[in-house]
Amino acid sequence: MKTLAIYKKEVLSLFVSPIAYVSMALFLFLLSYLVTYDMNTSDLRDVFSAMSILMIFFIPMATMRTMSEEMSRGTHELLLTSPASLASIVAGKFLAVMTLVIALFLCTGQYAVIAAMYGKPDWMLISTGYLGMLLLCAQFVAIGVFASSLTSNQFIAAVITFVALLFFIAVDVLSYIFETVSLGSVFEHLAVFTHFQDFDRGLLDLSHFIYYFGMIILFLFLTVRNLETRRW
Amino acid sequence: MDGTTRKIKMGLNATVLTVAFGGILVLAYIISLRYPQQYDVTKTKTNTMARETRDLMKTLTKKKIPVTATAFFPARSSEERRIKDLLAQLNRQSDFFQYEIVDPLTRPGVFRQMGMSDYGVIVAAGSPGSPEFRRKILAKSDLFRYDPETGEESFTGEQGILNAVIAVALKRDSMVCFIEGQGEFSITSTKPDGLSKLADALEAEAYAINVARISDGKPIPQDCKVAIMAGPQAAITSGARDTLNAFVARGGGLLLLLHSGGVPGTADLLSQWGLSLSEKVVIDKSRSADPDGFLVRPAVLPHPVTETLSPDDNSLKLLYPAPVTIAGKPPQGIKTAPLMATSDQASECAVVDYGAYQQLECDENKSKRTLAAAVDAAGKSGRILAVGNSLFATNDFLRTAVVIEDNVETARVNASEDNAAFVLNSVNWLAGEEDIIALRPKPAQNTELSDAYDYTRRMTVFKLFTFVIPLGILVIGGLVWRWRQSL
Repeated sequence: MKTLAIYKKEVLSLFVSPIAYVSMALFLFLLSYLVTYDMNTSDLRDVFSAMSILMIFFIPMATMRTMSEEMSRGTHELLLTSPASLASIVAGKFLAVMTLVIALFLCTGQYAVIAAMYGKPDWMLISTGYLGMLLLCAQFVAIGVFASSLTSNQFIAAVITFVALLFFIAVDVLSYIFETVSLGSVFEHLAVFTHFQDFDRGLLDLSHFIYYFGMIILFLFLTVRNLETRRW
Repeated sequence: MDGTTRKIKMGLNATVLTVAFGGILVLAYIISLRYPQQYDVTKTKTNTMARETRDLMKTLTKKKIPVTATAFFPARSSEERRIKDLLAQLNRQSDFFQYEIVDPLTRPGVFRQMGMSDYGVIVAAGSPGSPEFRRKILAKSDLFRYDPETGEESFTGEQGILNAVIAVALKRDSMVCFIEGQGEFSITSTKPDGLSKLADALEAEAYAINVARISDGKPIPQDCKVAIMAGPQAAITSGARDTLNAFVARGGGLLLLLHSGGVPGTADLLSQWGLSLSEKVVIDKSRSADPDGFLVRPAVLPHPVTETLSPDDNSLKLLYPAPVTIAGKPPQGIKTAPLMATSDQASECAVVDYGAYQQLECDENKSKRTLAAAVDAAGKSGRILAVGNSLFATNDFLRTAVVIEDNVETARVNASEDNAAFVLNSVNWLAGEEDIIALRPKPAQNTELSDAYDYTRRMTVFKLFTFVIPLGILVIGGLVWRWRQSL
């Protein structure tokens, strides 16, 4: 219940802030600019591909204020001393940003409409693509919430998130460099897009779910631990 | 307890908890990799292995035949990932199937040593140097087929690897002989009525190909397991009939592809097996690829040969086929089965020659007609399969996954994957290898947007999605902001 109350408050503050609408409009403008004219297939692969790149810029903007704002205003002390547990505070804020991401996903439904009008889409394939995107974004948001808990400066939080997301994308490149040693394989498993590819071709694999849920829970767990240190 | 000690204790506690938590996640992830659980949700099951492939892997385990596959692709390329996924799936099906991935860029020595000149896969069975050792090299083009019409590359790796495993591990002495001497279509001809594509497809299925001339009274070679007589133009003499009957009597499989009425001697040949071929052709407007009903698309009936085909929604095509009638009471010890049938709206038409022109004169009577039938002598002798269409397996009507087709061939509008699957399944059944029915290529999901999404519509959608909708969101944001300010 406390999670729900925090979630409601966060969603309200997100959706009455102009920054949410500006970033959504910018996201849809760029997405359309990149894919609409050249869209030739009904599987939305180009859309998902462009979305995953744009999310690297959008999610740091969406998550930067989650914890940093509380710290810069000094309201975090009220939160930390409130009867709500740290886990419910973090979960509420995480779910609020995810609501914004889902709202964005709904806006991209326009491409599914084009696919249905001019092609024969495999809806299950598109659904798994969206599911993969949702898990990928949830991982990005969890990282963003954690980064936001590290500093009271929103800009620095956004930069930390951006760098961390770049790491999880570029880690695949490290697997080339360390290919001959077993470390290369570890980097390959860490790479976020390696796990997204199967969703994109309609294949649900338990290991990918464990990876994404593991990463989400791990970063939310680290956020809780980090906030807890402020109570010591 | 002072503040510092307390902080150290709490810090240690948090670290241990974090490490333990991370450890549990890593362990769960490793277990999920060790015992993979995958679900293919696509409509055409593009990521699922065919039943035939799983059966083949079971056969390797049952017969204890070790097979190794060595794939040569650059590490972490999209091709390497597809091949690696497939080989890992095969390995999970049978411990007797082992594989290795070699990156030619980092291990060029191994690449050259194995005799490779381009990316591809080597499938091998037996120990190198031993008489049993066999290997087959699959080029990249055998695994990824480029479609010049759509510009897309599709993955045909499962079919390629399956054929290679059959070639190196299972088939040792199967030979298909094409009968010649009665004006049959030629296996070397690449013309529309040639059989070169069929010969290539059979070779890719690991059959040895030979030609048997029976007109001069020679018997069909002993090592022929299956004989194909495709479109004889001259009379089948009694000597030729005796040769064919002797071949079937010794356990051979005979595939007859005949045009309406056949040629003199056809009726005598078929009647011994409880079959007859009509002099007329079938017109079926209800199941046809053309409005006049000449290019018939029959339904298939349950039989090992038709197992991989959709009963009603297949792409079989027969131009002016002739009905193959099964005798009400077949000869003793003979089992006959219809394989293809028209709709019940089909009529038989005679081709009447008026000198200057020919005309079709059709019967009023409309009913279902059988266009192909299988005969099994139930262990006493071999098998026969007759199709009432001589063009059925010619280059014009065959589209095969294993044969790389050039632009001219793919432009052949009548080319059908199901014609190819039916013929290959027939040969396997006639050879007594129905367990290895040809793997039908998976139908590719057409993801292309239609031509109706033209330049004008693209521009309209582009303007709508790029400017109007984002602007609308900004307006909503502005209204919300103003509302908030007014509170």
